Amino acid sequence: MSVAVEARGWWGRWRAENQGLIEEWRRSLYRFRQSRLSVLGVAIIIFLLFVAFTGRYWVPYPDDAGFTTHVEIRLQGPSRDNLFGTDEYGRDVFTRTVWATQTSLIAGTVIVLVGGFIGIILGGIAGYFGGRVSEVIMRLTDIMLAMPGIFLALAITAALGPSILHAMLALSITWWPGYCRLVQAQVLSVREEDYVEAARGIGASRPRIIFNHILPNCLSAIMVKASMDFGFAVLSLAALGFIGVGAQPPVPEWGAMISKGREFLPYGWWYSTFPGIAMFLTVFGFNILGDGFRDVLDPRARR
Amino acid sequence: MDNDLLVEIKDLRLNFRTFDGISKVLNRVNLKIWRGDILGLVGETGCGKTMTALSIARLIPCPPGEIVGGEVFFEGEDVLHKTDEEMRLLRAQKLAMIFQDPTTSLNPVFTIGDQMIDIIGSRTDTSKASRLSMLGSLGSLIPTVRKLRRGARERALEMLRRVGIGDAAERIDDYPHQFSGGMRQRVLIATALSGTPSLLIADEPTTALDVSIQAQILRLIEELVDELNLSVLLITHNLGVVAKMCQKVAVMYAGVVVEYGSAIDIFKSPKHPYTIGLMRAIPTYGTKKGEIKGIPGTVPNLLDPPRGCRFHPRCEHAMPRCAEEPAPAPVAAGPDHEVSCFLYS
Amino acid sequence: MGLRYYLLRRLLLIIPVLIGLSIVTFVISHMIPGDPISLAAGPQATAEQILKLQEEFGVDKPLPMQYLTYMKGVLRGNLGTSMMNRHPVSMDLRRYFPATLELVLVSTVLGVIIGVPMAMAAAVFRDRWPDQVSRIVALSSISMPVFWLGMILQLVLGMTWHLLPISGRFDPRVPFPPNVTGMLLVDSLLAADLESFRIALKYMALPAFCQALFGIALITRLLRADILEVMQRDFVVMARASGLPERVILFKYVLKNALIATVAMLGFLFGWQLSGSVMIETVFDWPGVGLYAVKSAMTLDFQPIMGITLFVGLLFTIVNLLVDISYGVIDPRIRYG
Repeated sequence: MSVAVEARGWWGRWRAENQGLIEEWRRSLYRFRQSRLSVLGVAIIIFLLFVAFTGRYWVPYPDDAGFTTHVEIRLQGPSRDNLFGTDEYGRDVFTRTVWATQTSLIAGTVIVLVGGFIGIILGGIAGYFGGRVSEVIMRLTDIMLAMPGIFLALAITAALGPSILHAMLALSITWWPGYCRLVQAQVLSVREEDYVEAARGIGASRPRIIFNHILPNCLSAIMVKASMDFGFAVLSLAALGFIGVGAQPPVPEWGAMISKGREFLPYGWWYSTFPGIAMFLTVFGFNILGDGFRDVLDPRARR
Repeated sequence: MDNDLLVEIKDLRLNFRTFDGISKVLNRVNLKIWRGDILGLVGETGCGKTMTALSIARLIPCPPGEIVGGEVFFEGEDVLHKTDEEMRLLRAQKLAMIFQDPTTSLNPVFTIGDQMIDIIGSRTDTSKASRLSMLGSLGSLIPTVRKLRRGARERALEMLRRVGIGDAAERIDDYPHQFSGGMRQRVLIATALSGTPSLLIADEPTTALDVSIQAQILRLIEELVDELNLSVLLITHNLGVVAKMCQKVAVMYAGVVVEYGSAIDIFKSPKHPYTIGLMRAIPTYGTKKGEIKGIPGTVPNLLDPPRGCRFHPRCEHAMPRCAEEPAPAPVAAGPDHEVSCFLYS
Repeated sequence: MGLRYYLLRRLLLIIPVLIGLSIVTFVISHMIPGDPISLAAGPQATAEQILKLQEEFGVDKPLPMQYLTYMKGVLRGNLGTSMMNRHPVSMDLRRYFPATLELVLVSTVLGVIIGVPMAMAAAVFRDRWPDQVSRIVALSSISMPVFWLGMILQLVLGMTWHLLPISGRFDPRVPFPPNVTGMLLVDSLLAADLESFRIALKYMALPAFCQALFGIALITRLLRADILEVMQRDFVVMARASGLPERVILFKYVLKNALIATVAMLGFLFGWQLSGSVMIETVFDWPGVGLYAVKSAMTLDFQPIMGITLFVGLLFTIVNLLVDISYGVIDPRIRYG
């Protein structure tokens, strides 16, 4: 058996070493496919990705994503020309809603990636090395966690000045502590497992232990959290846009559109309704995906 | 049906649905428990001992479990076709069970008194039992419930004293984590035997305990069995315990009862090659190094068990027909001694 | 004895967290690139007026000095003064907080009384329709942008059908119940004023419903998983083997064990709802801390921003402490120490 292991290079070796893990992932994938709701989630997300990245080529009025005005058709209800109606400058709400998909997906990705990256690194360090480093990192995490996120994000965006970039930055800053604590706890529990002990015993290097043995075992927990978080990141960004400290005109963004549309209620109902539905669909897609992930990956929810 | 026959399991087949397929956990299990007997059920881990016991009380979780054939009789009544409520009353009144791990068998967030009172109270109809239990000790505010609870508490105290918890009155309001392992098992025994059961199912009752405590607990069980005139199904893999306590022995291998008979027959003249191997594997005083013989091979995968006799791949007497023909039916090898092996049919 | 020591230690641990929090917020609020002083003074202000304002708010001193001065005030309960309305921040907080607290409490209660039965139904009828329905309801609820949902409800129930008021806490044409706690539902009950209670409840309905959605979803999903997990434990098999009725096993033996994790989560839920109040209060014009924070952020009024951040942080920390203590009530294994 050991001959076969050596023959296949690092990839083969990694596969041989993590056979149990790979088998588990294979089962998870199977179970995931069994759940119709999760498959629906994947379908929604693929649809959204398609809309986000091709939308600008097929929307009916690409110019309306910017600062154009068509006073003669301002605040018109849904019609054949304007599927979702028009806004107060006569711009097509359908075009802007589709355009905003990209904004939200990119923003959500950035927030989760940046927040997750910082959190995983800090949490990994704190969990693996322990001692004073861990103490400092975890206290900082406590401080950040002591603050309901949106208040801090609000303060940061207010201080930096309202813009979508600052909103993303603010959310990334408030996002990492959750990952930090999750990864730290996972690493702490995995670190004492026998197989890590064994790897240490045969003299495996630290990076090797961390990347080959510890991180793969934290991966499922991180994936569950990240997929659930993606929806929340999109929601939070829209919330900041809604309050007025996120995306600024004329950038099409769902939260800002909903907020603007409020001013024209009850007459101009279409203005905020459609961006809201688009947003709900997005967040819903990611949440059912995350829920499916949790069902298959979280051992507590199994059986 | 014979009046002295308490439990009869006939050709019981049980499957479990798992990710990898259908696991054939029990394959035509036959078992008899006579009144007043202590029956030892022995076999390796995972051979279906616990599942056999649970099926008497119809406690197999379905799904994933599924009884695909056979019959189970308790006091001549067909257990598999009773209603849920009849089954609940049967468990409450006639069956007593003690499990392997006393730590996890008690509910951590209620006092032992509360749990014992609930269980003692459950020996009546459901609505009365629920009324007694649901409010816990607050239920005592209602006069009728208070009377019931007081009666049950008296009984609980009496039983606790009987199993050797001297300061029962002080300890009854403690939580499970405040007891030691041996004490918890005593509490569980007291709880199980607080009614008027006719069968005690003891599933490895001492495995999780310190060796020094094990003997005490076994002695306690023996005493109570005598006193209450119980029949016992004792699941264990400790053959020493079986030799000491049991009148009858059933040997299981991979979901099949391969041999059944009196303890004397099984120990003195085992018939099935697996039983013979098992007996040879017992170290006794004076055994020299290298004289203990294990049974070669490993337990089969029940997802895809060997065709024919499930033991044949490890059997030193295996014949062609062992692999070809369907599993051997039990045949008499003496008075009240049955063996499922082609060597004897 | 154990509890008192535990409490003392936990209370002492709050101090470094608060100091850290104050530093973080202080740094953030002083990153402001715009000039809040000239914003507050207005466009026509002279250089002299601006200088006077700068002195008044102490922004002409170096940052560490400003921080120390600020913290000295905080220890005396002085959270600074708003540049916009010149009110002490602590006064405004005292005025706005009861509204937020009332909203959060009502929605938490709603979350529990709707979420717990939904979780139980889902667990008992696992993989059958109640489970699927509750799963979809829960996932839709957490996916719902609450500010949008609030708006739609205002549009349909308020503006179109005129069933419920769309904003504010109370009917402005009716005198408020006498102020005791600042929570209108409680105050009207204390004054035995059922009419006011009814009005307050009507105003509460939409915001509380929107606010409660997340809690309902969270409790439904987590409690369901916990119930299923507890149902696998040995003591449930043992209870069943002893012939306990299924309803006793579920409602007593399983539920109490499963609720431990739900109680643990209430602290997190509280924090989430405080966050949510920012949006809900903006949509429903609910005069609470969230709306106060938004208004202050929009006007770059940094004293209230810091005050609110500190206050909310302290509040959240204390609630988490209370939650930790309340574990012990339902889980006898917890020993404080």
